[in-house]
Amino acid sequence: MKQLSVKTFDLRIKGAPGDQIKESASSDLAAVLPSSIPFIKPKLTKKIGDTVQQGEILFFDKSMPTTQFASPVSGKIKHIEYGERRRIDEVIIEKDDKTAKSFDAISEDTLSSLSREDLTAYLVDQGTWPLLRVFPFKKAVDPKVDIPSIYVSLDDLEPFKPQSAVYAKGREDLFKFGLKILRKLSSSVEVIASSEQDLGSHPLADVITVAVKGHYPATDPGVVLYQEKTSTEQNATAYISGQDLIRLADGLRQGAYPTRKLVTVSGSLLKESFYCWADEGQPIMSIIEGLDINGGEPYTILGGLLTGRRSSIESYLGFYDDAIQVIPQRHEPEFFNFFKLGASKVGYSKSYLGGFIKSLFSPTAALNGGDRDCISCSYCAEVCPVDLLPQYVFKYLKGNDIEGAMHNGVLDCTECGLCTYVCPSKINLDHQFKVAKQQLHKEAMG
Amino acid sequence: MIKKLKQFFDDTEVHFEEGGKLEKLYPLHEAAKSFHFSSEAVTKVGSNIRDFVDTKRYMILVVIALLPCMLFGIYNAGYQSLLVQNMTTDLMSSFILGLKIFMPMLLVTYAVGGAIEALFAVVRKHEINEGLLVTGMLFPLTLPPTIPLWQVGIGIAFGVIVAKEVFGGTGKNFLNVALTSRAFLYFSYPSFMSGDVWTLLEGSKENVIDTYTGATSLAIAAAAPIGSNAIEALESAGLGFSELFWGLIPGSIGETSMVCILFGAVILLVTRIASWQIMAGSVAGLYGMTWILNWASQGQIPFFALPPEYQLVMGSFAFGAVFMATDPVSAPDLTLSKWIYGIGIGAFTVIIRVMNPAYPEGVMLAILLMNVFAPLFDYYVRENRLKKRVPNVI
Repeated sequence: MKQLSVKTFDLRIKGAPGDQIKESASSDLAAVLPSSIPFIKPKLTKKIGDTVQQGEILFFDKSMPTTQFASPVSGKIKHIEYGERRRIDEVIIEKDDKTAKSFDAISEDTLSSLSREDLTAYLVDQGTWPLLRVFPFKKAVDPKVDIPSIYVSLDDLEPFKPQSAVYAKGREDLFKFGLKILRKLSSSVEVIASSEQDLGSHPLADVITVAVKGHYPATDPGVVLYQEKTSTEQNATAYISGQDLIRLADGLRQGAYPTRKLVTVSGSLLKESFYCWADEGQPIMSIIEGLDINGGEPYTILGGLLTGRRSSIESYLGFYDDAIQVIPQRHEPEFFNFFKLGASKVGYSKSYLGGFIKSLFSPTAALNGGDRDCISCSYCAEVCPVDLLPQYVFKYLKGNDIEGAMHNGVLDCTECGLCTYVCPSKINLDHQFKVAKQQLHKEAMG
Repeated sequence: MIKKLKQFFDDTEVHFEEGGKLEKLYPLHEAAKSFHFSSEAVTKVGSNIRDFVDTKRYMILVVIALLPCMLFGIYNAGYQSLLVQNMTTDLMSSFILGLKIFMPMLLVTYAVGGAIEALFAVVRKHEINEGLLVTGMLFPLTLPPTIPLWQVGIGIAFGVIVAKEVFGGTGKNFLNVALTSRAFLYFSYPSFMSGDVWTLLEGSKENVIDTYTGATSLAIAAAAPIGSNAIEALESAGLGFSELFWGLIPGSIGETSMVCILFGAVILLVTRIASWQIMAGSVAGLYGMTWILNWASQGQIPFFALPPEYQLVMGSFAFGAVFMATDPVSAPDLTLSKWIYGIGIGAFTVIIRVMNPAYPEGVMLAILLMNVFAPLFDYYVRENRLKKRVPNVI
């Protein structure tokens, strides 16, 4: 097992879920969210009123048709919610009791006789292929292209994502089957775990190849890639989360589209934080419990606290979503706030007393300041896990010099959001880098 | 009362928002509201959660770090004035006289600088940045108490417009704004800033000379004849090491007391507002260059032979190294360039002080010179750093 160490800091967020696992309530409706998937131009294969089977392809990427997504439920398409410029936001499906589309169930023996082409065709057909994503754009892989290496990240340390010690328990076999699938796709497969936990008693202790020390985002595949890569070919390394690998393996073994996943539910507007079994496409309302309606306007995040999508409690669980957090939008405005000692203002900065105290805090989505110009404080460069100098990258982009930004490593950015979190001028660095990547992606696709 | 104020800001906000009658003056409303109440904004793009620090807090901490220098400076300005007039120098009357000297300077700085800043913000349609909070405090502290108020106004106007706004405003100034303002006054009105006439005589209209000519420590050390000892010359003028350290001596308002500057330095370092590399580099550069000169002088030229701890406590060096050199905008960003920059400031301060008879103090010019070089240091250190990366381009 290789040991790595990444210089990080503790975000000190209150309210991590315990180990207890709940079952979510059932619901008559489900939805798929094409616009939640970056870098694709979704094209629907069905229209309102059509019936779909669970596992039947519902939409695909116009610019790369092998990136296909399946319906997680069987039922009838009730409504399609469009956003700006006919962006397809939600395809809402009314569930019926029809059976799921069935595929050949693949055992370990059949797997070893499958060719790489057959395997990728199977995964593309089943709609699980996009679970595997590739750097630098973090989008689905082109099945024809060789993958230099695949990173499986077991523990996403971003508050609060499912941890492998919980979700892999009892599903070790599926995970190991998943690793066999990946070995057919690439000659190098690394399994990354956080060494902040006791790896000796970890359910997957025997397959972990890289142990990383450090807080969020130390175990992020992009961060590990930056630490490990020695050649430019490795820039196209692919990655998959540990739980998504279990889903992928489950799909093959059962011969059915895998919809079940273990999600974390947390945030100070909810009564408690917990793990919960849920299905892809399920309404958020049927998963969360005990929403405090007097605690302020809710701000719903699907995914990690920093990088997750802004959503609403009326939305649905998306393809990649494995965490739901409901936090207050803001806190009460304080009078002459900047003269206070601020013992409760926990953060990276040492400008409030809270910067020195080891206590945890409940975050809100407050900006905590106004839009200002960069003052070159260099906090962003101090926290960047891939050693970018975000203040320069952003200035190159401001000057429309995307080549300069690339020369300075913008494609290494793993979009962890820490630079934006620490910025006293509240510059949306991570967003600007994402936009730059989208522009580069457009150019690369011609 | 607080609730009423909050209500007032909330009620008036609609006039300043898009489509409102006073839409153009939105930056003024935002500045006034955000000065009193913390922001109510919610994140729209980028990371969902944000740290509590904002530029207002960042800048206010520098102002807080400057308070000991300011309070002591006020007292000292009054004290020195009363002293040369042979009047009683008790705490209260010194402080009140000091306030009479300093407060008009501070108010003129904030009024003129603030008006220009607000004007540019309104025209450019951006929110008012907080940099002036610090600039407006630093600038009067670097001035002698004898300075006429119209010069204070012209100085800060020059600094804010020429050093900052013409380059695009806060964050884009490659020169320290307060020092540029001071340099402008220094070269435009040298007789007011020469370092020989820095004690104000209060209410001496009938007197022909309205300022008392008491030489500062730098002038005394520079004037010590060859073969003599600069320390003895300083001590005979009542400026021994401890006087220079405690700072109850004539000089620019905020710069005389090493104790107060150290206090400010601790605040800036503990809160991680200022870079310790720059401060340490400046001191290292000052010591290194002084030792070279000590050795070169062979004990013959007294100012050359002055030990480094004297160079450290004399003049404005410490104030400059702690509060001016560490201004993050005009300083370099990368660790190695910060060291080079700091060492350069220390070394050039001594060279200019000791070798150039035209300028009694060197720290202002040393910092401005290094400000100009900061982007170059950063460029080379950055390119060198990029060589170690595996390129990732498409």
